Amino acid sequence: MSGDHDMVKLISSDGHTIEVPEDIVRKSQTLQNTLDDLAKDQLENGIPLANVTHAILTKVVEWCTHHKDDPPPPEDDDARTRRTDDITPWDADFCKVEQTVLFELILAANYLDIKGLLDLCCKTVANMIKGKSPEQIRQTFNIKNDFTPEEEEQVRKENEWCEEAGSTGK
Amino acid sequence: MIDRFPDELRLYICEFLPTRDLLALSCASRDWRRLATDSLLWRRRYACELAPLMGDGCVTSGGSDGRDEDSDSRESEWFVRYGLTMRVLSRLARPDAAASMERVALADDVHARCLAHHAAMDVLLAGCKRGVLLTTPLSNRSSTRGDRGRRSPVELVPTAVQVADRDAVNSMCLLPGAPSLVALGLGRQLGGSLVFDLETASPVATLTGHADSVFALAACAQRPWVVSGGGQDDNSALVFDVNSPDAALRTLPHRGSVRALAFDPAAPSVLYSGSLDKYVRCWDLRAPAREPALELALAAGVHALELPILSSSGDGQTLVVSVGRPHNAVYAIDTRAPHAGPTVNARYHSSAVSSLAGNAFSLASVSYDGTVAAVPMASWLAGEVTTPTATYGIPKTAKGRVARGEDVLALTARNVALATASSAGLHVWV
Repeated sequence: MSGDHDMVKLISSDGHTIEVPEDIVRKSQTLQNTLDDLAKDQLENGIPLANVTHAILTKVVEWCTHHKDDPPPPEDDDARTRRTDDITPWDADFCKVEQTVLFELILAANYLDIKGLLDLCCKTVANMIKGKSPEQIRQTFNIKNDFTPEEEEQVRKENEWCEEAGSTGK
Repeated sequence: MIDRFPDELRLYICEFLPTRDLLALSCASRDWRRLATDSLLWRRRYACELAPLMGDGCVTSGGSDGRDEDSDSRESEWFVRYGLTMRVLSRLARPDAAASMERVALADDVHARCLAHHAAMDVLLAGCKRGVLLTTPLSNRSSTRGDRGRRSPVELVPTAVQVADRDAVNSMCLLPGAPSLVALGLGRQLGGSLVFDLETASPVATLTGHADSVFALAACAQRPWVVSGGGQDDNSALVFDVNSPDAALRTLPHRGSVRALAFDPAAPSVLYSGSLDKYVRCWDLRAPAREPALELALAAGVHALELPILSSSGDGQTLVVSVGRPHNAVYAIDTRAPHAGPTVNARYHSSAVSSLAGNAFSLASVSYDGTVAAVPMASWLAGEVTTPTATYGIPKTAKGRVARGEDVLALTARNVALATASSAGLHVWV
């Protein structure tokens, strides 16, 4: 088997090649499968990543490097409500990027199947939505309001129970 | 750009949003409306957040085994169901609730002393002078009003089952592990309880050892334990194994009549007992020690205890206790800092509160003053509510006296919100 210092070449969609230690690459379930499926000589030329640019790949590698000693993320547990208040300061700092970069990271984490990074970025987006009115959400994400006034009234009615129940927001 | 994300990723983001924020997002656009009201998303939420609160299991979370794939194909079915359930759970304490509900007397010629709702059979049980009243299933009751705006109370007419010759049924509790069994706390003739099979209408075990009436009963959710609280000639609670009922497993001493017993929903072997001796004691029934794990001195005799299931993470952290004269108060006590004193001290009944019923959304208290008071749980615990937001009056007895409120149930059934047992009989609010 490979030693600790084996390097893997990753080629971004804009044609840049970077070398990343294999244990970091294996944080990605997608790349782990690729590594296991391909023979060593097939890896010589590097693994092309059609959906990830160099800038985003660098960020992904940075995250995986920082988290390389983390235990594997727990299997999805439907029985628990998902929390968003458990982001570490390093991770919070990592996510202080332009919205477009954050969204690119989500797409990359999804494509590369890195659950920890995907959860972190989705939590960050969720935190951007929290506490906002529908209009503020539209402004934040540049969403176009395509409801007719009648539809908007209907939606408001269908959501009324939340106000009645009162204690549900937290 | 987020608008162009695949649905699967946008739904994943939705999973991290609290209900209120998810609803705000659902108002942003048609496309977000479609996603944020997705049935599977809300079914998961329902199973995580609401199903555990439906204490009596009246509405189940629905299997995740794909059996009801058909119903999930209706896009927002579980979204609608979640909303309806929230309405049901919170309706008791809504300011217009008492006025908008109809009070129905199911029995008005008996002194009903205790109540239970059997979820699987969907019937109400009330303990009275010589036995138990059993209603027809609550769901049989039509939820739509007739032309005259009146519904017939006859639909729920109870039948009486005699269980004792001379004793009254003072207290009852259902046995979580045995769906057809109910434990009935009887008077001093028996000095104990009967384990009664509702299917065969006959007793299957007798749990004796008390010198007085049994005024409180509780059943453990995990072990076959039934705990009974004795009256003033007795001053103790007895723990029984219903599978070997001949002798009590252990005695939990007090210095006065034991009026309230409640297992901790978060730790099924932890029991709280409340007594007229002004103490609440907490026992870990796995530990052999004779001494309580915790003892709380209160300002007056304890009449009722409730450990509401507040959320999937906060269970068992709040103890709601009612004490009698001269305070007639309801306290909230943080079980993690029990000696810091009550975090809430509510006095809005003119007599002792005999029973409490709570969930994450509302807390109902019934008192010997003949009324039921309801408050929204979260704001009550936060100290923001000092008077009841809704009050329900039990009618006077046949002899014209103020009804002695004995027991209250806050129901999650769609058609019945509240049930009371009192000296004026058995009443439901629909």
